[in-house]
Amino acid sequence: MKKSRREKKGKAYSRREFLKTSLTGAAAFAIGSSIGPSLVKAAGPIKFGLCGVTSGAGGMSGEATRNAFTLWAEGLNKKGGLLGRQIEIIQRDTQNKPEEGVRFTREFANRGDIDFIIPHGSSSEAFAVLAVAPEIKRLIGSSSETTEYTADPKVRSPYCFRFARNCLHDGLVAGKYAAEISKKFGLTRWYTIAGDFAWGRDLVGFFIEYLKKFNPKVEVVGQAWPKLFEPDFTPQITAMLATQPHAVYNGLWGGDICNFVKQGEMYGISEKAKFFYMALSDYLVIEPIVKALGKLPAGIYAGTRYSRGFPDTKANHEFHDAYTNRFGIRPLNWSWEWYTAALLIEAAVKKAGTTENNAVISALKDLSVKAPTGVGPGGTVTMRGRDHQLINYAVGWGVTVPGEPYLANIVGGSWEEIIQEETIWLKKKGWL
Amino acid sequence: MNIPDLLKCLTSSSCFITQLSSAIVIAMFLFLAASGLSLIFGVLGIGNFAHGSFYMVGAYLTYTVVSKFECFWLALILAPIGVGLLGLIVERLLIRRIYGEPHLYQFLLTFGLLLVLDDIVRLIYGFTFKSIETPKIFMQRPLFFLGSPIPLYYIFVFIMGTLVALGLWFILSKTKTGKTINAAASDPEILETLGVDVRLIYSLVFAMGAMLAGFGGFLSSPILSATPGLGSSIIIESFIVMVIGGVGSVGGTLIASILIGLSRSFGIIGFPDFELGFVFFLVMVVLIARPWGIFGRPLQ
Repeated sequence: MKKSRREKKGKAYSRREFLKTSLTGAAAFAIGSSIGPSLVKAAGPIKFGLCGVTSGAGGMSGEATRNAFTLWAEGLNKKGGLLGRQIEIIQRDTQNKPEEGVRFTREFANRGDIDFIIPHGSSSEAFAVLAVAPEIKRLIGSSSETTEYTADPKVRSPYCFRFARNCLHDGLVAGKYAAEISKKFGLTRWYTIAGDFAWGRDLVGFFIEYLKKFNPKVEVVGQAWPKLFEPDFTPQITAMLATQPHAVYNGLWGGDICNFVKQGEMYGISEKAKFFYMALSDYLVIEPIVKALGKLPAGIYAGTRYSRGFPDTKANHEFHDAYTNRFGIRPLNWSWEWYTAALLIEAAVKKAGTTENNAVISALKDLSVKAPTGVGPGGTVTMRGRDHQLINYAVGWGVTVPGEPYLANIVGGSWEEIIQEETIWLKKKGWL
Repeated sequence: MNIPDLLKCLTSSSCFITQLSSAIVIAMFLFLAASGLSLIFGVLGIGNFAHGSFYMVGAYLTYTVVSKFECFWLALILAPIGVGLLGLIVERLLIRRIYGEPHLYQFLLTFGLLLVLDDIVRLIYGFTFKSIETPKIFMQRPLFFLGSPIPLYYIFVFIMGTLVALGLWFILSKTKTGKTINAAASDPEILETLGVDVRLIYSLVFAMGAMLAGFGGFLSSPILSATPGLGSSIIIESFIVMVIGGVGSVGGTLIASILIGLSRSFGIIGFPDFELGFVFFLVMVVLIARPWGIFGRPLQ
């Protein structure tokens, strides 16, 4: 019999053998591809990919976020981790650029080894990432406080969760509190000042709406909208004084408040009007002001962003003290928000029995956990399933005192009332 | 727009004086930040994007000196000198290598330097806002002039800014050193052939520019908190002042600073939503009508 070319070359290789080998190899490859990495992943750490601003003037938010996750992770890792796996935190700096937020979110999604993606940047970054969430199809956490992020059904995403306060809640509690004070002291002429960006505009809008709702006699005599990180507020301060307001609602943030207070005290502003600061009680702000002025001016009304004394619970005290001892700085607003997020994700993973994002997303809906700033039943917060908005967190207003705890006579917002008013507002907008 | 409120303010002596004093304070801080930038660009031809970082370093050095020695007046001397030394080192090691190079190289190098300096202060001082106590001598009741409050510290800022402006003018126009600097700006090659060490002049000018920014940082410390990124907020306005006033012109820098101070101070009453945009509108008008600035000379 004439030998085939293959046979002549010594390769006695039949078609049957070829098919058998090929099919076996293909099957092995397919099985290996699916099991191999999964086996590696299952045995490896659970990775949280954080991306947000960690440099420049807004960098403290990124630092607070990393600290919060680190505190949580270290505590959990000592007890054996989550589902038997250690927690690992990876962080990237977006430099406050929305396009960088999207880039890192995509990178984390494409890497294959990042279990949870946490874009913790500003609202502009949050909305940019929100836009690509349907494409990425992963659980996305956010601390954006701009109301639309979860309230507008045309905007919100089934993948995105707000582990933070929002401007509607804050503006409502602030407006009601300020309305009571304004009735008591006859403060009818109001001036507002807030940064000219989404948070500032949203916050002031809700504040005025609810201030007028609970005290229709007030009028807004002027508004100022300085840019974020404005170093010199002198023109805004003098323009404000020229309108002779009875009261001023200040929605500035962070270092802007420090600068405003320092520059304002040059003109003796605290003697000329009653001040209501949304974010003065943040430890980020209090300590530089105390250093600059020698003490915190007393009698200023301030919202609670994060305070060791509110809620005045053992859980909150322990969180504050553990954070301060670990990092040498006190917790900030982002600290409690992201620590709470970590607790919720932990509970959702345990409930789902997996880190697979779709399962965790389902588990997160209407999930309640005990948290340091929880004021729900048993000190819990809840991730509302309808819109993925955190509720039952501590939100209130008080009056400044010169020394610790810096804020006294705190009046907490009633969540029953908050939800009721929120529902009215959402129905009015056609969003519910 | 609130034109009626603006007119009301212009016709009220207390409001007018208050806003005018506010404008002058803004102008003084801008002048101190921008004069150094204009000097460096005018003589060395370098658009130094890291200039705002010198301002920031001045603020941080002030914080360090006051924290350690509890003496604000010591910082008046040490902070600008410290930043001047930093400027000298930066010029010798980095800036010297890009003289005559395309502007893109200057932008990349100095922008990179801005980011590096931001990160260095962050590593040393952290993210928390660093504040110093305003000297007690200035924490008295404001001075009242025609019913307008003028904080004592702002009077001090005005005096310091004026002294710096006069000092700069005197050095640049009435002294041999100043004439040498002007000559180096006009024709460095000829100056070199006359035996003048032009590289030394360049180093001194850069250090001087840095010192001016550092002095601005010192002066702003009682009313601002030092924070990483402080320089970024100053540098844009400094460039605006330089564009409007004219490169290398001390008088132009001062006039431009005052113009911006006035537009911000009165603009905040008349156009609260557009107050910052109005400043950029001013820049556009100058760039179209007189691109070399009000007091500048056409660039060759």
